[in-house]
Amino acid sequence: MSEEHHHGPKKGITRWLFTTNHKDIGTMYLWLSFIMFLFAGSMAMGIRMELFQPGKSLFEPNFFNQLTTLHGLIMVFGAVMPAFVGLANWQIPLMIGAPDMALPRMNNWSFWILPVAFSILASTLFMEGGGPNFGWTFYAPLSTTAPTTPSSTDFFIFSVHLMGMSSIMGSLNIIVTIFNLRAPGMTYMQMPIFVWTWFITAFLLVAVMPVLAGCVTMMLADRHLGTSFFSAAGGGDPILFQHVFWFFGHPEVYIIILPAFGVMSEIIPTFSRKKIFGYHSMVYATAAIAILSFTVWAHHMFTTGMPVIGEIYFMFATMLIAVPTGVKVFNWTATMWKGAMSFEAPMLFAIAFLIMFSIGGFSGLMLAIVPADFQYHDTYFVVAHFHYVMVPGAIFGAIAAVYYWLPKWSGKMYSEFLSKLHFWLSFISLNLVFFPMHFLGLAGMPRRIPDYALQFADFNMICSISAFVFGLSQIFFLFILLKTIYSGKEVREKKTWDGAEGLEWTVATPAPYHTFSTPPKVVPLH
Amino acid sequence: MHNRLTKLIFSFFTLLIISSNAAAEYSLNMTRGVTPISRDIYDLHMTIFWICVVIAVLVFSVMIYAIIFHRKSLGCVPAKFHENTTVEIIWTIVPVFILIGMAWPATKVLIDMEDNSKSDMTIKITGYMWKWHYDYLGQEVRFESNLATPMEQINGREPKGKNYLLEVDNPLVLPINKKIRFITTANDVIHAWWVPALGIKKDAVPGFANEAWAIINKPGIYRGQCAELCGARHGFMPIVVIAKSEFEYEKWLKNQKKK
Amino acid sequence: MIQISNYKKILLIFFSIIIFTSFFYLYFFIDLKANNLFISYIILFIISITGYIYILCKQKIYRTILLIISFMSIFCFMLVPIYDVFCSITGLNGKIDISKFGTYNASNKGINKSRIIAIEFDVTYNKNIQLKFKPKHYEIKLRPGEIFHTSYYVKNLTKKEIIIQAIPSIVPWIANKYFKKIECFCFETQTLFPNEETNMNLSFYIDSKIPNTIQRLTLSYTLFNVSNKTF
Repeated sequence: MSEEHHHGPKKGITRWLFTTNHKDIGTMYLWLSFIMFLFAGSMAMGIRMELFQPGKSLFEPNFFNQLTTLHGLIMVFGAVMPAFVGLANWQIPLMIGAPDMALPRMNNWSFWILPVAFSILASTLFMEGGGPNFGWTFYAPLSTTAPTTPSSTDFFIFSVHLMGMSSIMGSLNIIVTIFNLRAPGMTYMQMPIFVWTWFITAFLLVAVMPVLAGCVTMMLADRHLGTSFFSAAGGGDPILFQHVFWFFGHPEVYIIILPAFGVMSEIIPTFSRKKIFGYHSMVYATAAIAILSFTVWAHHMFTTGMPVIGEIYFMFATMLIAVPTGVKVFNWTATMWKGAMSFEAPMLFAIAFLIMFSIGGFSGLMLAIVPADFQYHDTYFVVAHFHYVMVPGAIFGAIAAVYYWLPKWSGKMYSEFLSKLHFWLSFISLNLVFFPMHFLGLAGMPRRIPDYALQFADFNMICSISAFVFGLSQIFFLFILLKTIYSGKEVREKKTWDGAEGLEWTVATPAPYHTFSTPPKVVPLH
Repeated sequence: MHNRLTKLIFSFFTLLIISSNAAAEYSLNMTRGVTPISRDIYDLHMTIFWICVVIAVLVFSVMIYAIIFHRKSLGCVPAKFHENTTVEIIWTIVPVFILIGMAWPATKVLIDMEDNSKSDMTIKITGYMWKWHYDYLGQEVRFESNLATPMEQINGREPKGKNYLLEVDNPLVLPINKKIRFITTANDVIHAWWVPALGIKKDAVPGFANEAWAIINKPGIYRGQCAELCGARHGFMPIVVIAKSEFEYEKWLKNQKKK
Repeated sequence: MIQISNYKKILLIFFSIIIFTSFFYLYFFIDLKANNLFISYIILFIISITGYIYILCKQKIYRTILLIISFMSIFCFMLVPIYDVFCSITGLNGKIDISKFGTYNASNKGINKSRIIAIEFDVTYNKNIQLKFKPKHYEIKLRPGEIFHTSYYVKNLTKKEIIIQAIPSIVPWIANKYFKKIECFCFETQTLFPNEETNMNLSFYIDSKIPNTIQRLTLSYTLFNVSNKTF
């Protein structure tokens, strides 16, 4: 085997267009996700501006609905999912000792479909009739044959198909990579937990993305081919849409959070200087969560008029998911217990994740109780719940991962002071945004309304102001990242964090363009 | 610096949570409502809430203790343990029992809620984009219920009234102490009929009929909103229920029939 | 050059003819409604494509992929009859009443005189359909097993022809199984000329096996305008 020629990557735009290198593709995914995060975040700023005070402020209600729809769609499909795929691309080969992903050219295509898909989705805002205005859950018949369904819906459907294709190809790539390219000695039960969580997430994606594709195709057929999947007139049922959508939708939210769980399982042991507690049960708990996630979809549909037996079953099944999730939280806590902790930025975000995600989990448990759900459903209580699990959950997971691995990727260290400032600004403002939403929901404020009754005004104002602070903090994050990449302090130690374990910490810093061209020697860790 | 700030923030949130019960008048908490079911729901909600608070306090105190005392800066040496099968089994089994304890009362309330039999009267509710139609089945009384807040208030040209966005031209009038069966459906897209004080939220699905019931124990005015996105004016189709004594209700009904 | 035996060459030519003629068929006979001849031709076409590829691809991996895809496609199309069988066995499809054209089954132990069930008849209009739609009876009391005849009056209030379809919905849902329709206009499209009015008949009985927990049920019809076939 000859020495690698140190020709380095190509120069210019063709490097990025044609790259098959997992590091380049990971970088592109991460930047795309950040841009989409800021775009969807500005939709959120628009929402909070309108909701700052009662009364019509800036936007027509129809445009407000477009803002909420696009905020949801782009955050879920454009910010959170690509961020974790980017982390997967960067880290999985490094963590299992593989030179690259198993299917590098397909990897490139998985990425480049996304800018096309999101351009199409964003362009719907400028089409006649406006963009999608039926919520990110696009229930039929509001999204198929209602008088107010915009004609851009077909472009929205196309965009969803493209995103689905990208996810499916990316997941297949991850599965094949993990099956085939682990270094000798890296058995399944020696893999880092981040690799495990992505392995399981990839199976979830392959299983449910086609369901979403089927769902939007049925929508397309109802709109243009005279079918009546979701219309009672032809023997169909609008509730069928909800069943098919949520059969995708519930595993989707676990797809979003499982990689963040994996990140936590990397960061907490490092900064506690202790191995993860209960490695085996972490793996089994993740698998249990994934399998259970297929069995609970109708807990989003308790008010649709389900038979009592169905309501009882879904209530029990949903409550059951709390058990493996609790096991994971206990294991992380036990990892911290009697460790020797230090609180650099990644650890701060990780601890905030633990506490805030648990709060989101508790509100989820409350939502699972069907009679109570009849008062919570489609109110701001639900909005509070899912923002707690998504923002201090998934988003903080991604941010923590970026701070954690950025030195390895770029060879530059971020400013600890600035990053801690970013953390405290984000942490405090997000709690001030989303905690009051619990009360708004309990007091009776429904979701997806551009204007509200007077008793909700005070809390809405607090939410809006804090939301602006949160938004600005993320611009601050962008500034921190750019500052680090261009003028950060250089780091050259292979093991940037003294408590870190794993193969990615055995390569040079910054990680060379090609790593593990020869398989490494694997030291058993678990 | 870390532990003090964390402690401060944590005590703030704990206070916030604890104060929620006391601050019900400030609309921080769910309403107890005026029907047996709404009261059952409120009790369930508070039970689950307090169970979650207890678990949260237990788990978070362990975390916070570790954050304060198990730090490298205090010179701690990390322990070597990374598994303990007994403990792991315990903290898998115990939550299951806690969950069963939560699910048992919830199931009872749920079965009660879904028992629509032996009703005294039926109201058929049809959701439209963007208003409600009410039909007193068997009484030949039917009317539309539209938002009554004037556009000038919405546009900010006039000061907003007390029941801004929660007032209608023709409210639904119901008798107290009678079991009322509500049938919901829709004309165009999915809506949802929700009155928190009655403890009812049911989707109104076009082409399908859904059932719910309530026995209103107290006369009064109860307001609700549409709870399923149905287009631009989803936030502008409220529900107002006026519960009257049986005598007043019969009077009102007779009046309506004359029209 | 691919080495193919003479026997396989003949098969290839046969398949090619089918595939070739299918283009003409599609072009000239696209308006033909699906009937047995059409379906047989389609099946033959699919077999031809499959056989064509099978003969030309020698490698095991391509043949396996071809078999899997064929199996998946055939399974998808077979789902239509499979669902029908599944629904009739489990009785899950309560809305589309299979006993629509059933006769009164006297072996249902006759009329159950000990119970009375109240039945409400209700109508809902879909979108802005311009019709008058009224049930003949608004509420009746019936014993399980007794046959009842009623009708719904409908009048087209517009100056255009309209095609309508009435979709039933029964609450409580569990009563669907016990509401046996003998004559019904559910799911049947009805064309109404401008200003035409008609009565649509409904004859039914309640199965005597209906549980004691049900004393009142509501039959709600939603009237849809299906003239443009966009539902």
